[in-house]
Amino acid sequence: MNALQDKYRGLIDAAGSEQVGNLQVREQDGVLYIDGTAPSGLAKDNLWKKYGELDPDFAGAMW
Amino acid sequence: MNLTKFTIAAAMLFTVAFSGCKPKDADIQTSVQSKQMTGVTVAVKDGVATLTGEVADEAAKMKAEEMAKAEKGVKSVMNNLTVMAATMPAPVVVTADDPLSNSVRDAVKDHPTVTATVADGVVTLTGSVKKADLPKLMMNLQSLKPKRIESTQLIKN
Repeated sequence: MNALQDKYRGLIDAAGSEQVGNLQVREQDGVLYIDGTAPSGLAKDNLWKKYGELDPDFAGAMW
Repeated sequence: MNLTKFTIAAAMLFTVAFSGCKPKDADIQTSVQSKQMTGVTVAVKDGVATLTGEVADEAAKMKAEEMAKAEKGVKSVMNNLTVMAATMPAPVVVTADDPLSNSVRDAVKDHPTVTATVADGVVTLTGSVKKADLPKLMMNLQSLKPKRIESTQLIKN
């Protein structure tokens, strides 16, 4: 497991438990891309909230 | 004469008794098969277990062989399992600069203090933004699928 995925492990796990469809976790050119379809607006908001906790400046990965 | 007959009879009895103790191919096959993972087919003939099918990786192939070897009555294992080709994830699709620039312009127009430039898929944000507005701005920008967003120069206040 690499550093980026480690850092965002909480988010990736949360995406799994929010039952995000077609979840894809990819790393390309040093950027971690987490894509998927959230089952609801609430789930999406929760994941963004989680992301905000991990990266308060929103400087890193993308959704 | 009689002694010879007896010897033959004894030999036969011994053979019958001996083969009675030895697990039969069919039984071994059932037992090995029941312990194997999905995708593995087991055939046993004369104590030789042949494994066929497709497994996820080399480790699974080795494990299947070990498990078959551990089975009582298996003399040897022919491991004919194949390993699935690793499926590479599809590359990340980044929006081209022209459409990206247009949508980025739209996305930041509600934030007049933020300036955004686009180059090679990278959105660079400068200026300043209220901390409370940051999540919404970033969500909107990320949904446009840029390569990444460079926001270290952006002042969050």
